Amino acid sequence: MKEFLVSIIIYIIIVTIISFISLRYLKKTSESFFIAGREIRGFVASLTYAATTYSAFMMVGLVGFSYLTGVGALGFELVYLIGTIFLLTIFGEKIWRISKEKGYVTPSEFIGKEFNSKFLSIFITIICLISLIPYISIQFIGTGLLMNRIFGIEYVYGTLIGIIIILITTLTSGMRSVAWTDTLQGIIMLVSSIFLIIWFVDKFELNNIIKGINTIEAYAKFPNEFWTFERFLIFITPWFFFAITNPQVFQRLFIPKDEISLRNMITYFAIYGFVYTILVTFLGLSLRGLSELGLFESVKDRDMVTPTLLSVAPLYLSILVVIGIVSAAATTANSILLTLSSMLVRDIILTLKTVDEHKQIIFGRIFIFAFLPILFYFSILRPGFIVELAVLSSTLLLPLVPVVLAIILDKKDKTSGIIALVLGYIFAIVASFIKMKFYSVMILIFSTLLYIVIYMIKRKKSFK
Amino acid sequence: MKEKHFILISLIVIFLMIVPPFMINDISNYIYWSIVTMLYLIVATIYMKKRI
Repeated sequence: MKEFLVSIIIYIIIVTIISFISLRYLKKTSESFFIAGREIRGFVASLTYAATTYSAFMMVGLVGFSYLTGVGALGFELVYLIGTIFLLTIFGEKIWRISKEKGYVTPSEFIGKEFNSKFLSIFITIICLISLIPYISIQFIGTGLLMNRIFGIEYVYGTLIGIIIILITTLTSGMRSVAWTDTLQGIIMLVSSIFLIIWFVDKFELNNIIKGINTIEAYAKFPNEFWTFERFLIFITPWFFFAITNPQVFQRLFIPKDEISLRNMITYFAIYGFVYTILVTFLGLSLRGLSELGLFESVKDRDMVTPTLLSVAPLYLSILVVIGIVSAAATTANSILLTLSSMLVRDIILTLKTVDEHKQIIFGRIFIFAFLPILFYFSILRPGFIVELAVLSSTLLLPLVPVVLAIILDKKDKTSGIIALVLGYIFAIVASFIKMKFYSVMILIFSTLLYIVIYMIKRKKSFK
Repeated sequence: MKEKHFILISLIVIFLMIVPPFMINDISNYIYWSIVTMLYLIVATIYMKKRI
């Protein structure tokens, strides 16, 4: 525990130094604070994108998910990656160009102004707030569980460490400090998982790992008891559209300095995402096989699979991996917090009254500060499992898909946008909670059809 | 490669990621999914280099 505390303090000091160096580049404009003045180059942009996307969900949630549900977890995660690369390749440049030319800072501002509707901006800000609170809180749950299991640190203090890192990285210079520290943390996440795999294969031996996987025939099958066709579609639909529905990653399309930086961001992210996903799921599948052979403790709670593995790993490796996971959690949470605070400032405060650029930054910092106790409380409550919470967050944001696509495809209509989004969101809440059959697919179809039908009716009327 | 070709390839890949794994029905899906994804990422990178 002592070694871990020393390491985490050193890590926090390094993150603090990077954050304060980035402060030198902060200009007194909201654009500089919230999207780093659109000056981020490809390598940093890709790592901040990866670190924002890949949260504690990966190393804690997905390892356990693969352990419990089998090979389908890989398919689900790779469909997400393909969906993201597809959407970024086709639409990324257009979104980047529109935001640059028109000076948009937040995703809700992007949609609201393109539809010429303040209501849409405000409504999107509110639904993002509601939908993303569980998503941020699971980051703290992941780190709290981990530190508790491995180093015996009380769960509450484990979550507090995550909050301290988030405070430092977001409050200093906003997006620039977040992007710079994300770069460091993104590297730690990947390197630590590679070291973990090397140690893992060395300790348990490749022969045993392969033998273990072959032993568990029923579990290795796809479909199996968990991965039915319906469940697979329910899981992949919201994740396929993650890049255009989740504001924290959508906003990252505004930050590249130029087209080449944007292209590099997408390319490097694709490589990072592929390697990281393969490593994480390999770990989960192999551990399950080893459990069946009796070479690894059988774990019932899937969120405890990674902590159980780390509890038998060498101390230095456990510390590195835990710091990697804390990094993953912090980078996702700070990006969402920064995005939500930018949306509150630009889409709510600025709608109510005129606020100068400097005050917008102050408001942004106040909002970040005010969010933390709420999130802390949520993570102490520990609602549900990590994966379900992550999927639910993205599911509730699915009605944004037709609205964003309408902008990109130049089929904008204010009334259609408002109705599709409001009714789509109500439908999303109801369908998720009553667990309607194929509910995420239904939410997408419902909101998209609603948009198309109203758009067609209005167009027909305007022709008359 | 034009945009419509890339979209068509993407749709085929999405189909390949969802439907055939239910027929393969064993651990070799791990390799199947990995290879399809890797090939798609290579195609997307080549297309992007020409487009952006």
